[in-house]
Amino acid sequence: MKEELFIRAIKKRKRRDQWFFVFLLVMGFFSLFPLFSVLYYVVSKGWPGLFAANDLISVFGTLEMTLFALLFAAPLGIGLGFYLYETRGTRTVTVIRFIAELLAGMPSILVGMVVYAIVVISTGTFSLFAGSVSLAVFVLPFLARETEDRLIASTSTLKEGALALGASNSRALLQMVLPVMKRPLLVAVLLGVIRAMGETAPLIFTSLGNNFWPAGVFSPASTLSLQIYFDALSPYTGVQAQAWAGALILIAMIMILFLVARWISKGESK
Amino acid sequence: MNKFRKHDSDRLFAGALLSFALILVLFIFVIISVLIERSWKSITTFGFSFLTGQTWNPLRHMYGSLPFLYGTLISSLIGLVLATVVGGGTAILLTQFNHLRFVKLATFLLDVLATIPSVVYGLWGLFVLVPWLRNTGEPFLKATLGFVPLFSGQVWGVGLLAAGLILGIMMLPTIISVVRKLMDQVPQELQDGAIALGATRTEKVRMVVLPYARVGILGAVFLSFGRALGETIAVTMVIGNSPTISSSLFQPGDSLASVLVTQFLEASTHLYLSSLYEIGLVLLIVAVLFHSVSKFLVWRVSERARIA
Repeated sequence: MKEELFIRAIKKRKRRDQWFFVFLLVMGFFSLFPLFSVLYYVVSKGWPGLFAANDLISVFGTLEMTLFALLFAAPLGIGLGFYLYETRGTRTVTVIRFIAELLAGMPSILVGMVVYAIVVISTGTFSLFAGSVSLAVFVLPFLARETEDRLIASTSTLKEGALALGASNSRALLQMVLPVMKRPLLVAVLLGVIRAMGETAPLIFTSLGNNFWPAGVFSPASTLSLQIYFDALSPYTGVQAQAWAGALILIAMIMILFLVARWISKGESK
Repeated sequence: MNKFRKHDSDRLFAGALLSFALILVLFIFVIISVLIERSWKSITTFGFSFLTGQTWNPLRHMYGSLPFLYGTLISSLIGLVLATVVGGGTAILLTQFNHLRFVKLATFLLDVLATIPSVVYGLWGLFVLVPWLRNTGEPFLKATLGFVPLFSGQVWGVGLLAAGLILGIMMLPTIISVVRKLMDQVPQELQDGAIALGATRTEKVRMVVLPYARVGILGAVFLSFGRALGETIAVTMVIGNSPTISSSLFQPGDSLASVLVTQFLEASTHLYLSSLYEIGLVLLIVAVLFHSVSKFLVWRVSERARIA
């Protein structure tokens, strides 16, 4: 009798274990389901509308704006990452680090509002330039964080070795650490590009969007993300199809960059 | 360390690095001062009633931000609950049952999920999720849980629930990756010990793994919440953009960030624009507050764990 109770208790626990596993499988399914659904709809709905003239304008807008943003943000972000790495543990850096995290956690739309108040109002026009500035401010803290993480992960002994051989601090960093870090930093910049490419909110107030080729850096420009946003809100199905096509191009570009970044970092770890 | 800094180049280099940091400080200073300066008129006109006012009606010059605060908090809360349950479960699956074949593939797919831009989620939400909610999801909830005020009233599709679902999906990759990292740090000896004592995998997770990782999970949850508060584009596209406070999750609402997107460029009067800047300021304060509280919490709990 007693034994029977014991066995029943064990069976109950085992059943509970199996049910828990089923529950976890369902959760795992829920986690991945949105990805498949998003990709399925983007491909199937985006495919027919591909190769329209407007897409080309947006693609160039996206590339140009991201390029300008990164030209500005990459040196600054990497420099800041080096600063955070170099001054770990000191009191001033905890303040700087808090500010960097604050900027990273700040809703990007606020950056758009501030850039509007400064750049757009002072130049008198929405522009590709203003959009680039807001994207640069947006990715800066991300790049700094990535740089610092990668420096911490890979190079402390390298720098110590250089210092032990009598190199000055700056020489150790610039001539020993930086060359070794070239690929990891490139990956960090690529991840920053991916983030900047998909960002929409701050661009609405700074770059505005444009259905035509922008006349120059200081004129409104469209990006894929802006085009998707505005086209999606249109009541016309033909325009909505443009939004899906834009999403397909944007995701394809991001996936290519993502795979390249992965490939580079894989080569690094070998 | 200072003793060794004898080279001029070092001093120059340190100065250059410091200038990067100063640029950052300048950025944050400019952002905060612009937001305060631009919203000054609204602050002096409405004072504290800006935060408690329930009516947002630019035509009648009534600017109360409570509906936006409400919409922001409720939609983020829905997202947080969903992402914690689903993401936590997935993280347990991927760490504790990692003999499964698909772990590597799932990790890769979750990385991909994290790269999908907000605006694409918004597009998907608007044309896939919202129609589904309107035709299937919300009627079903209403039929089964309709006696709760949360799930009653007219079915729209767009609304707080749709925004919460989208936010939940967007939070998933972060929560999963952080929780996984935390669970990987649980000492193997403890886990083996639990198994050796006869615990099932479920009991091991509940009694050993989760208690050990609890602190960090709390931190991850708070951090994701802070991020959800500021999520803009996807929420704007599915929340319904109506400044109302209603107890039903089916009703359209609006969030702090989404009202900025939809109304900022349409603000026709000085006071209107100023009020929107104050909304931005409120958003910043809420985000900073949450960031600081989560940092403090994690710090305090980990400090206690260290002492104990």
